[in-house]
This record gives sequence, C-alpha cells and structure tokens, in this order.
Amino acid sequence: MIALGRAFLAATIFFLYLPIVVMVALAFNASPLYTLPFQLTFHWFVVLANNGPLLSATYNSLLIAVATSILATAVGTLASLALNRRSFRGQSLLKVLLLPPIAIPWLITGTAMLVFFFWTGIGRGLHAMLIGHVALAIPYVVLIIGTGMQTLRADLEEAAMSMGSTPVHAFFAVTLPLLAPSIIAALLFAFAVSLDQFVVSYFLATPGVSTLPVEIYTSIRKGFTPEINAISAIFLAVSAILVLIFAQLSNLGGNRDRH
Amino acid sequence: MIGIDIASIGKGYGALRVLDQVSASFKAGEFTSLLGPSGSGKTTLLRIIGGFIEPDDGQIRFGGEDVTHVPLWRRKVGMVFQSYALFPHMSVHDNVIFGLNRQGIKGEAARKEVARVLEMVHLTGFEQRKPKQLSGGQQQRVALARAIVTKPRVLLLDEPLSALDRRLRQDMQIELRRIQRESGLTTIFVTHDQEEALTLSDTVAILDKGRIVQEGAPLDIYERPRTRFAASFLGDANFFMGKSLAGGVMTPGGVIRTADAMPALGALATLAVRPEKMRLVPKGGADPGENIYTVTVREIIYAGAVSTFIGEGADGNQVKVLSQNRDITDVEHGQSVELAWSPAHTVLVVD
Repeated sequence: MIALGRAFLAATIFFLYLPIVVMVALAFNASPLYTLPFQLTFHWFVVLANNGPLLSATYNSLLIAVATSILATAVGTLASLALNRRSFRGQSLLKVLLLPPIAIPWLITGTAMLVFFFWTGIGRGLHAMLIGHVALAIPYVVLIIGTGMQTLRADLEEAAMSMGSTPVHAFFAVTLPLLAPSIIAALLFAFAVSLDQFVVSYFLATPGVSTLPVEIYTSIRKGFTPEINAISAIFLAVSAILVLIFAQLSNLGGNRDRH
Repeated sequence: MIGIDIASIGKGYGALRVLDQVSASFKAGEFTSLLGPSGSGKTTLLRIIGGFIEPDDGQIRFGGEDVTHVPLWRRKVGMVFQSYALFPHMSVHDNVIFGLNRQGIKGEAARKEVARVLEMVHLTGFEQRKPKQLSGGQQQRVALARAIVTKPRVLLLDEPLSALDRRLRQDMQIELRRIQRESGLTTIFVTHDQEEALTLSDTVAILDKGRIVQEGAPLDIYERPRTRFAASFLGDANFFMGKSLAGGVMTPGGVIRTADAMPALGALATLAVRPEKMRLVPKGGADPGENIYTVTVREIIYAGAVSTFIGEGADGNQVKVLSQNRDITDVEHGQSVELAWSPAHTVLVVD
C-alpha cells in the first residue's frame, strides 16, 4: 500500500509539477524555439512589458478575480446563513438548485450565458464576465460556508442575545468570528474559480477586453512565444503566494481555539 | 428579587399542542424545577419565559411587568444552556464580561464583577483559558458565572447537569444550590431527573403532555402525588385499583384502606403506595389497623444497603417493596409473604 502511495505521489509530481517547472524554466531561456542548451535571459520579461494586450488581460483577470471573490463570498455567506438558520418558502427548492451548477459543464453554462446576456441586453465585456464568474462561484461559497456553519451551534447566538446582544450584534460578535476560517476558504475558492475560468470568459470577452486565460489561448493560436511563459511564471508565483497566505490565515483561524 | 408569573401559556407547532393553558407562579428567590419526561413541554416553557420562543397565547410577567412581547435581548434573563453555549473564540474572562459590556458596564467596574462571580464558582485564575481548555464541570461553572454576573431578573437552567458524569453531577448539584442561595436569584430549572429535582428545589412542578399536573414542595409532591403519572414519574409507586368503598378500595386481593377521602361508592379508584413504606411481615405479623396484602415473591434484588422485592398479588398485580438491610430479610423465591403498611401512606390518585 505504501509503495503504491509513493508511486502515485511520484506520478502526481511528475505529470503535474514537472510541466510547470519546465514552463517556468523556459521563461528564462534565451531560445524562442525552446531549444537547449539553457541560456539564462530576462529578455522575455522585457518583451512582455511591451505586450499591451497580454498585460491588460492580466490586469482584467486579477480585477475580476478579486471582485468575484468579494462579491460571491458576501452574497454566498448571506445565502448560506438564510439557508441554514431561517426557514422560508422555497427554501428546500433553493437548496437543491444551488448544487447542480457545480456539475453542469462550463461549456454549457457559458453558451447559455452568452445567449441570455445577448437577449437581455447585458451584452459582453468585463461586467458580463464579472456577473458570470460570481454566478459560478456562489455555489462553492454556499457549500463551504454551509459546512462551516454546521459546526457552529445555533445556541451561541441565543446565548449572546440572552446577555443583551441584538441579533445584529450577536452575528458580528459571535457568528462572524467563528465563521472566519470558512469565509477565508470561500474567498480563496471564489478567487481560484474566477482566475481559472476560461470557457465562460471566452464566450463573454469582446475583442480588446479579455482575461489572461483567453488572451493566452488566442496568442497560442497565433503562434507560441516565450513571453507567454514569462507571464505564466509571474502569475504562478503570485497565485502560489496568495494561496499560501490565505492557507496560513485560515489555519490560524482554525487553530485559535487550541492555543 | 422578583417573582415570575405565567398565565394561560399556549404553544403549538402545527397540530401538535406543546403547551396547553399553563399557569404558574415562581416565587422571588426560590428555586423551582420543571420536571417532566421528554416531550412534556418543559424546555419549551423555559424558553418562552426566557423569550427565546414567543407563545401563541398567554402572558408572562416579571414582578408585575408584562414581558410577553419584550424581545430576548431586553428581557434581562440569565440562561445556562444544556450545551453551555460558551463562545469558543473567547477566553473565560471575555465570555463572562460579555453581558456586562452589553449593559454598558465597562472597565474597572466590569472587571470587579467578573472577579466576584469567578470566585463564587471557584474559577479564579482561569480568566485567560479558552473553553476548550476546561473540563466539563469547569465549562459548566463558566456558563453559570456568565448567566449570573449581570444580576438577571430570573436565572434559567436548561438541564445543565445532564452532560456531566454521575459523581461530578452530584458535586455540581451542591454547588448550584449554594450559588443560587448566595446570589438570591429566582431560578427555574428544567430537568427530567427526578432525584435532581427533589434535592435541589424549593418547589417542583411536574409537567405531562403540555400541562403542569402538580406543583408543590418536594416533600408534598413525593408524599401526596395527585395523579398516577406524578406518582410514577417522581419516584416509584405501587398501584391498587378497585371499586371505591368507604375509606378504601376493594381489590381482588382484599380491601386496601386509606386515610384519604374517597370518591362516590362503587366508582373505580386507584391507590398509590411508595415501595419504601411497605414491609414484609410474617403471617399475622402486621400491626392492628395496617393494610395487608399477600404476594408471591418473584424477584429479590440485593443492592448492599437496600434490597428490592418484587411480589405478585393473587390477581397478578406486581408490587415492589424497598427494604433497608439492617437485618437480612429471610425470604425465598416463590414464597408467599404478607406486606404491611399504614393506611396513612396510601394515597388516592387520579388517572
């Protein structure tokens, strides 16, 4: 069993991380045709600095990802509170409807959104991509926060209220701090869903306004240049650092009780 | 100190009536237990008094003030939850000071109050601990400190001892009673443990199916149960059913007499007798005037200090007798013995 586990781990590293390492290495390689021997250069980063469309796509990607994670987490947290703490008409229907979007292929969601946004006059562009990403991320947020809420007893808020807290104060003094690890995880997840999103963005992008995955895809079709590797390397570094910071924060939140 | 009055409280969920026309008075500074099996509505009643649930009808008064529609956070109650509901992200100090801060008591005055109640519950020095770093008994005492520090108008306890093991529970019963006396708070305690209700309370109210069936001092309720349910839920009881005579009932095993006033002659009546009031006597060994009932011994349960005998009357009526083992009673399985007890210990109950 252990040998099998090790083999699996090795395969994971080989097929998942090795290609990424190669890509990062090639970002620093002088040859535009990916030929060896390896010659260290920062030339592609200079080229990248002059590639306007790629840079603006990167900026769009980050902007949408940050906005999506904040919006989706805010809306999703409130939805999760409503679903778990109150009872209202259509509650079970809403609960059921929240999950399928996770399983529906993005290609279908993307097509549907394109048609629907066209009809309703929402159209395409940054705002449309933001709406699409938020819609895609909310089910994940509700799922993560909902799991966090299950470990949170309802009588904690009651206890706070019996000591003079209004419902709003009880929420901010008791529920929110205890939900913090889940909220951080939800933020991170929503951020990742948005940053990763290609299909929906591809449908909703307009010429000149796209996100990094869409721009990379378009560039590759025109011919692969190592500046793609360069932007990917930067992106990789930024998202890896973000993930580590978030993981550390949420871990701290989870450990607070034990120290 | 103020008393609590509830009048005609009703609460239902759909077709289910959880509480039905419940009225009661909880005297100022007294410790009252709401005792009943699960589903009797005792917790619902406690939560209605606290303001956690709104009743469908009826009125709640705290010392004359109508609080029926006063929201929970303005009702000034202290509540100890079954799960303690301590805030896991706050220290003991922060948990206890929470209510004071909500009342606008801050700084040195608040710290003094926290120190005072923590001393009362013997937790001085634990201020900076988190709830997870405390034992069950300690968490329980923090919950209690948190509930009494604001000097609430009523202290509500929802089965707070049920999560503790037996030994700790007995210690906490004594502690709870001491703290309640020291603080002088009007206290309402919900429990399904009859022994707990008897030992802790000034008054016990027995609930059954959404109604208070009997209310009184533990001694009165135990010695003079009014209903068959009260007699069997609070302690053990033997029942004798038969047609009513003057001063007793006619059972297939003979006449059982009581000092209680009987209903109309010929009506079906039930008499209750506590197992410890009966004794096993040799044939003809009963004192004059005592009730005598002949049974066949079916079971002998020896438990050190006491033994329990289960006998069966001629009509199949099972009778339990509790006997102190000062002298070992010499009886055997299947032996026919006589039980003797005083008519004064024979209580008329209604079904």
